[in-house]
Amino acid sequence: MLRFFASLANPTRFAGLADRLLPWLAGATALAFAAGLYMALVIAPADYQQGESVRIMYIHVPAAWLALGCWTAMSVAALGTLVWRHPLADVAQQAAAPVGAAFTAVCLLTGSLWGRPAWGTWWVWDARLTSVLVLFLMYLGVMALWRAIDDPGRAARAVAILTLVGFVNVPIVKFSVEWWFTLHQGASLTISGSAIDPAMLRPLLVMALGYLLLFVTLLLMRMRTELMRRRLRRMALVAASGLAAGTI
Amino acid sequence: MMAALWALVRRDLTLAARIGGGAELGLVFFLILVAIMPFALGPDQVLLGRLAPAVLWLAALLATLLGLDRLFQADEDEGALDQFMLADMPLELVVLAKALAHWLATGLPLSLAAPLFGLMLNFEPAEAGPLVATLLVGTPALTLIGAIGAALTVSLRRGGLLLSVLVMPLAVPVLIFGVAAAGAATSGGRGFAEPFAILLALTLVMLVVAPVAAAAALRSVRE
Amino acid sequence: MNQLPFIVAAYAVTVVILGGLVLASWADFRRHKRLLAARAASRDDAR
Repeated sequence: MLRFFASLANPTRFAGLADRLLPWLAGATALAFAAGLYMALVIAPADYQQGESVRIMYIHVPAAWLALGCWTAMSVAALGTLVWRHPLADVAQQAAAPVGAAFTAVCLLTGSLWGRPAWGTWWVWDARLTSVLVLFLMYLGVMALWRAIDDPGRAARAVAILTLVGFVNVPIVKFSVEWWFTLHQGASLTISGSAIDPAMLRPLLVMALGYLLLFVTLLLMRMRTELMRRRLRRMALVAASGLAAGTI
Repeated sequence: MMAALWALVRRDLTLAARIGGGAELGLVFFLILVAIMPFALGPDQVLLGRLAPAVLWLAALLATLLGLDRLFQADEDEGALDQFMLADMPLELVVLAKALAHWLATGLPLSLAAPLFGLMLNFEPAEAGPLVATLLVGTPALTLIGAIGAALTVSLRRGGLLLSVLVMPLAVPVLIFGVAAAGAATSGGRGFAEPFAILLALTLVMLVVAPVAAAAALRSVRE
Repeated sequence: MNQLPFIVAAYAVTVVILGGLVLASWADFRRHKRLLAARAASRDDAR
């Protein structure tokens, strides 16, 4: 396994592998979403309490899972950058951040659209909503830091440190907001964590699989793009320095 | 080594005092923030009194962020940062010393002045003790979290805004427990101990995490 | 309350965000592939 990861340090080998995998992954993603959407919109029953609006769950909950999962993946890649100096880990971190931000945005917006019919309000300062909002802000911070530092190597190490600090911070934020929410008992609404009926769980899991496949597909594609961008950048730099030296 | 660290703290304090942007300017900024609050919230005495702990805490957070972007940048510009890295004391301790100096110049005067400014927000002076205690315990955590952000943005010319964006989400727990403890003290004193203990714990955790993270960030710029 | 608009809006928002990300990533991928190919071709010409 370790040797496999080490062999991926060669960009050409990674590119070859990614190019072979991408069509299959894209196809699997499309299939999973097709099946998941059919199950979520047609087969799954309406909730006896919430009615049809429970169907928003099938796009909302997996987005929340992936929003957290993406930060975890970024933290692993951050370790890869700081500890093992794996060149691909830098690229993985950079490629993952916008995808995670998109999942978090989906989670927040669909949550808001679900909250309106289910609780009668667009936004509740509930523990989960607030922690996801903080997570979203941290994704934006990571993306801003990527953009601010020119040198990709330096940017990768700085972002890696921020990602790891954020990884420690997310559970702390979750805990503090939960504590804070119980202090402010005014709002009576909490998202019920009740057991889910199998008829609803199955579509949810299929949709989650679709989200996961979409994440992997997007990650690989964006990593490939980033590797090509860096290669072009290097070529441009070499050409420019060649011009300056008068060799061409 | 302790002597060298104290020398560093003294140097930073002297610099802060000479350049300006030291204690006085931070306090003026704090005062202005407190002064504009009634214009936004209205002059209702009861409302202001209830919101006073929150307003003072927010003002403390913003005033701490002020000037934090220069925490390592000034040293970076004049080459002192390279000297720190070559010196035989760990960079983590240098970060800690600089954070201490920053706190002595901003957090400490802020915390002590808070009851005085609180008077303008209809905050009872008799309840000032717990408020000052929460600020004294909590503002070091804000400075330390800010030190991480300052180290990450050390090489950027205009890092100030980015620094705030990076630091604010990390400061959410400190704000929650700081305001909760200060608020509990004003509303009868019940429920003060728990958030205060957690606030203390957050500061202690940051005391360990922040120097390590900030030093790693400073080193990463050099490679 | 009629829930249908909310369901439609939620799915639409998801499709717009994720679909937008997919399209943007794909376009970026194609663009860089083309650029790289163009560069390799121009290098062959020079030789």
